[in-house]
Formats: sequence, C-alpha cells, structure tokens
Amino acid sequence: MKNFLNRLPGPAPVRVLLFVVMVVVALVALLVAFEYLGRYFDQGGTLG
Amino acid sequence: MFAFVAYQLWGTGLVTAREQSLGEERVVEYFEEARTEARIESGQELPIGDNYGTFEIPVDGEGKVVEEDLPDLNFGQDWLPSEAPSRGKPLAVITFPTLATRTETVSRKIGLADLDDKVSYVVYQGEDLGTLRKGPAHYTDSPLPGELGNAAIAGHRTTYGAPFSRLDQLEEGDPIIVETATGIHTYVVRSPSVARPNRDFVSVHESGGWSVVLPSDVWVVGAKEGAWLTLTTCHPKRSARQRLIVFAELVATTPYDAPEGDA
Repeated sequence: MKNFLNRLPGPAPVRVLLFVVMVVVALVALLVAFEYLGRYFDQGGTLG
Repeated sequence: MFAFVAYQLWGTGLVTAREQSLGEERVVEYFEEARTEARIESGQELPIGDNYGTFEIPVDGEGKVVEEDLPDLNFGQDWLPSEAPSRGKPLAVITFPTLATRTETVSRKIGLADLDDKVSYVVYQGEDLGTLRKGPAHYTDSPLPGELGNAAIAGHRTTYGAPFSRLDQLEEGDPIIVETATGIHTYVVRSPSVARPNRDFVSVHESGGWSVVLPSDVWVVGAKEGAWLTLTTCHPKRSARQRLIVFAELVATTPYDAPEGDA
C-alpha cells in the first residue's frame, strides 16, 4: 500500500488526497456491485 | 466473496434497523396527522391520544385466533385518510404475534424493545427497492390495510433485516395485526386454497398457511372480494427465484380508544 502511495504523482499531500479519493471511489463501486448482485439473493419479494 | 455475503446478511440489516427505529416515531406522527386532518374535514370526534399500539386479541393455546370471541366485523372507520403517505414514508405497523409467543392473550405496546424482538415492523409506503430497504413495503396500487379489497405488502426474506424471513412459519388461523391511522386490524391466516381468487390460479407449492408462486404471478396481489392482506417475499431463502405468499382475511377492526377525558 505504501509503494502504491509513493507511485502516485505529485507532492505528498496530493498523493494522500488522491489515495483517499481512490479508496472512496473503490468502496462506492464495491457497494454498487454488492447491491446489484444482491438482487439475485433477495428482490424484496415483489411480484411482476 | 466473504465481504459480499457479510454485507448482504449483516450490512444491509444495519440500514433497515436504523430506518425501523426512526419509523417507529414517524408512523405515530402520521397516524396523528391523518386523524387530525380527518377530524377537521369531517367534524367527527376521532380520538387522538398516546394510546397507539395497544391491542389484545383472543387466541387459543396454540396461538390461533378464536374468531367467535371477536366482535362482529365492523369496518369501524367511517372515515379514511384523505391520502396515503407518499412513497418511502411510514404507513403502518405489522405484528406477527405467534412468531413470538403462543399464549392465551397476545398484547403489545409499540416500543423499541418490541421492534427488536423481530415480530413487529414499521411498514412503509411503496414497493420500490429503495423503500424495501427500510422495511416491509405496501404496494401502492393496492388498498390500504383495513380497507375492502386486497392490501398487499412485500418484504425481504434474507437481506435488509429480513422482516419476512419467518413467513413460512405462519399457520392457518394465526393472527396478523396491522395498525394504521384508522385503527387496529386483525387478520387471520387462511389456507391458500380458500384464499385463491379462483381455480384458474395455481401455485407451485402450497402448505398450511402459505404458498409458493412465480415472480410473474401478479394475480396474487390483484383485486379480491372481501378484505384481505397478502404478504409476499422471496423463496427459497437466499434466492429470488420464486415468491412465498401468505393470505390473511380481515376479521376485526378496533378503533383506538379515546384518550382519558376526551370521550
């Protein structure tokens, strides 16, 4: 993780900010994927 | 994979638990707003107090409703809310007394502890996925619980707090209580063979108090003679392949008691 942080462009504060943004985006994408896949698990029981 | 399963089984439940906790207060606010509005519009005396959520129904040793001990069915409400709450707002509270206990009398008072015991849930208006995350959701095209027709409510079976996870434990004769702005409505679970609108409609499987249909079987939530409550959830657990259905018939409607000094 530290190597990845060091490979990001810009000075240290910018790299940290970029890293945080990337983590947030990844988490949101994961959540969206989980929600989508979850529909195969349980659709809330609606008909039609 | 582990993260996905953990999120589905527990993470989603946190969202629902929070919404249920908030909904508990908001649903009573809705009841009071609807009653205040109706009181002003009709000039009728509709009791407004803090006594929502108290009920007592006669049941036998197995928890089945003793229907002959109930007062004659009287729709009670000669008023109706001028409009149902908008999508995503709390509408009612549904309770499955026999899933908790089987004693001579079942009674309850709305309170967080009761919602935690997994037999009472705040029902929200609108059967969209967003609303279903909050708890059981009323199909907007169906009548409100307590009204004539087929009031339909959907709920998750595995995720989002799994409010309908134990619908398959309901048996014929079991009570289901739905509290709305108009009063406390007692429904009794009926055999699917009795509850089907006609013989043209078939189920994949039927048990004593529930049946299994396909997700495309929309006749389940269609119009019906009498006053019914239809509950729908996914089947089998952890799959959206089929739907588990419980049909219940309205047998009693009890208006809320007038608060003391305001009879």
